[in-house]
Amino acid sequence: MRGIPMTHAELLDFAKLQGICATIAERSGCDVAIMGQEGKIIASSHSESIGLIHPGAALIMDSQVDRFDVTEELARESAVMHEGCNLPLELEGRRIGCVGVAAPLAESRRYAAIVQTCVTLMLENEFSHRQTQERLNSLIASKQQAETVLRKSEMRLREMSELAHIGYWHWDLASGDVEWSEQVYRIFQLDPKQFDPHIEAIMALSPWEEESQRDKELIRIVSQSRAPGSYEQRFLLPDGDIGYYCSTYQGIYDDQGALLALEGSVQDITEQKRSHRALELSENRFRDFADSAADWFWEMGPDLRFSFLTGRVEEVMGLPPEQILGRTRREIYREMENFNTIEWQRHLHILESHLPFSNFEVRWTRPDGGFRFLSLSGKPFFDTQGGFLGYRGVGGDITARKQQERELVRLRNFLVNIINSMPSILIGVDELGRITQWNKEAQHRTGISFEEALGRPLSEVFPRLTEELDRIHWAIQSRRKQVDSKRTLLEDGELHYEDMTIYPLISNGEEGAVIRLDDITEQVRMQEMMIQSEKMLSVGGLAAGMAHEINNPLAGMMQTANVLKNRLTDTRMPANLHAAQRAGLSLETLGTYLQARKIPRMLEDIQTSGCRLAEIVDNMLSFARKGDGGGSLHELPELIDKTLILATTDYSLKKQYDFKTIEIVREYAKDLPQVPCARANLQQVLLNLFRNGAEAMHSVRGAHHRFIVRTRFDERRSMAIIEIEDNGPGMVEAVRKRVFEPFFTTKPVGVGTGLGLSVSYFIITEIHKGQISVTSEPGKGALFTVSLPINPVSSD
Amino acid sequence: MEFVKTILILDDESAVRRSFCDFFEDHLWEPVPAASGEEALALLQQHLQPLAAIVDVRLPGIDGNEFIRQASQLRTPMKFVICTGSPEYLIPDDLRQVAGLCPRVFTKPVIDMQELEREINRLIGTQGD
Repeated sequence: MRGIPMTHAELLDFAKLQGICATIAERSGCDVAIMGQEGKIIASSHSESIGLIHPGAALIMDSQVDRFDVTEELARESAVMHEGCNLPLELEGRRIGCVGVAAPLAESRRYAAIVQTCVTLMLENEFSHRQTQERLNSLIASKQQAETVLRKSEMRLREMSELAHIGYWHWDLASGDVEWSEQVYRIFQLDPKQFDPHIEAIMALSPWEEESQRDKELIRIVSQSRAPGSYEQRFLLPDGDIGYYCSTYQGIYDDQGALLALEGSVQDITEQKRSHRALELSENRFRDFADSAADWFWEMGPDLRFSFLTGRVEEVMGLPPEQILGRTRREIYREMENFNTIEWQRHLHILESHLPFSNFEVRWTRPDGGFRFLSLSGKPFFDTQGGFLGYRGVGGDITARKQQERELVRLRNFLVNIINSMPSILIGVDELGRITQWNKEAQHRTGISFEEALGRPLSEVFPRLTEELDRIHWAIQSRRKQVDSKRTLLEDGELHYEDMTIYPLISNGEEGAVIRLDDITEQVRMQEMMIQSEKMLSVGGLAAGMAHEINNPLAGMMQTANVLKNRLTDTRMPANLHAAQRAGLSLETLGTYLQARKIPRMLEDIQTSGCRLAEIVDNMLSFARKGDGGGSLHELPELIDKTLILATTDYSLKKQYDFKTIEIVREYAKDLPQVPCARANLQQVLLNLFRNGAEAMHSVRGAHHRFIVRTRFDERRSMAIIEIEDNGPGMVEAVRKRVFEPFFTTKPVGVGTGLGLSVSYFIITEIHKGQISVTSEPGKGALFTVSLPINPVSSD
Repeated sequence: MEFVKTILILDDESAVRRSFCDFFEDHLWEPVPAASGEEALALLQQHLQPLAAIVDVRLPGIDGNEFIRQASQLRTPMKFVICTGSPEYLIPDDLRQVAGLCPRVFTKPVIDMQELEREINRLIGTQGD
């Protein structure tokens, strides 16, 4: 409302006031004036005075007086004032001006009062009119304002409905016509000019079986319940996308209450639906992630009692969730056998300290007796003030993994055991020749531990393979096994043999090789022994075949010589006598003749030579008797004696010593049982011992050489013992320790094979399961002891 | 006539056979030579009843062992002494059961034939000369 109040005097316009003054002056014959603020004359019948200040009026306006009389004298002194009376004009209790009447004082008072009343009435009238006008104006103004607000509000509503995608519809049930607001078209993305919103057409916008009866359904519901409601519906957008709207509805009824129409709003909720779907998808995705990450989820309250469980917990633990919820982990796992382990104590401490933990592994025994390995992880959660609210976490069944791990560990141990129990040196190297594997045998042979060797260059820890690096590289590059058999090397001054195999490793793209070194010294020596032994046996076999062929003609010779001798020299034999008599020959004369021609000696020579030949054949045959080892029983003294004879004949071939000059002292025990042995082999051993002893003694020239050969029976061990003691130079410790080693010899090159004693060792220990040893000191001769088991032992 | 001691000499080697025959003849035996087991068996079947036989093992045809087996079936109470040129020869187990078989095997050459004769005499239980 426009509310700045004008001065009351100004309510009266000059023309009206001037009219009043003129009218009163004309009727009364007195001058009349009206003064305003500060006594200024604003209207007067005496127009020259307008604008002048009336001092008396000024006093009135100043509220100093309520009436100002101008006397004759006062009028004479003033240029403005005339004799008369001045009275105030008041409106609504406020002094707004004065009226003055110039007349003789007595009259003027009366006139002044009349003018005062008259003007006041006019003023009041005017004021009231003005107020009415003003009120009217203000009413008009407020109406206009209200209209503006309404307009704005409508606009806003429209904007809002557009923004909120809310439209209005009205469905006339009788005609099936539907009225749509503009927004509805927009929602359906349809052109109002091209789409006629009839109910059939509208229903066609949702061409799905389950939504086809929606309209009938709606009518039925509204008819029955008469309550407004809402529903959601899918619809097909022109571009083929699917949209969603939410519609509210209410019925419109006639006076009798019959349903005439339905109306309501429709809101586009496609975006919400989509975001809802996206949320759902995201949730599902999260759940899938979580499900694949863990078998179940759990939550604990601040009291560490389980408050929430989901997932496969029952399947894995065999406990229904109700038996877990409300209990603490301590209560649930208390019965587990490993509950007292330090791991559990630590875990419980972590829980009580509200610390996070991950992959805590426990063994869980199910109520059905089966067991599972579980992996538990959890994270404490807190309120905004940092107050502990509990734990959230996951559990997983890691039994399969655990079992695989165990299997893996078992397998690894198994492999390590295999690798370590191999008698070979096994060294793994990478492509740069650095150690990756170093087995027990390698450690044993080098004195370098696995830890020390790991990662170091092969040439550093196993210098003698330095020259094989090229071959190792070649094996890796060509992916071919490299074999080097029967390599020789000197170890502690002794000749050793080894096989080297380099296997390239080509698994998992990791390049490297495994070097396998086998000490085959024993095998090589054994092989040599076997070869030697076989050689002797084959000689023996040949001899056996020959023996029969030799013995028969020899028998023919010798036996015939025997008969010949009898017939020539036996002077008592009747046949001889008879034949001599018939020939006229004296046996005495014949005897003289034979003696003169040395016939008996010749016959004797034939006999002796034949005997020797028979003996040699017999001894050669000894070597043929391999198969009777352990099977046939032999008298040791006889066997030794035969060997000694053989040793004597051996001399004549070798000329290294003269066995006949050696004294043989026999100390044979009487109670010695027969010994199961391979005669040929045992003879070979004894022959070896005799030869070596003879050679050793022979090296001391001029001395008296003597063998003491003893046999005795060791009842306790049930063994027959043969001792062969010589009085030769003896041996130093270093030699003594090695005399049974193959190829070890003290003889000059070309004299011995160095196999004799090793073959002996082989025959005694391997074939007879016996023992052979030597005691000796320099200058004190040597004593070889052969022990043979009496009880038959199986032998090959 | 004095009691005649007949001895069968079975050996395929003529020199050996003859030396045995000569030796036993000199010592007043009546040696009957046979060069094969079959021949010896034929002699026995022709009512030859020797006190003993010297038997070689390796023979053409049936060997000495087989000869002893068959001869011992003929109810002739004779003794068998094996003389073989194979020093590794061992009497087969079944022959050990033959009552007349000398457990001692002589190896050719028989250097001491007197000892052979003594062994035979011991077997037949008579004292020789």
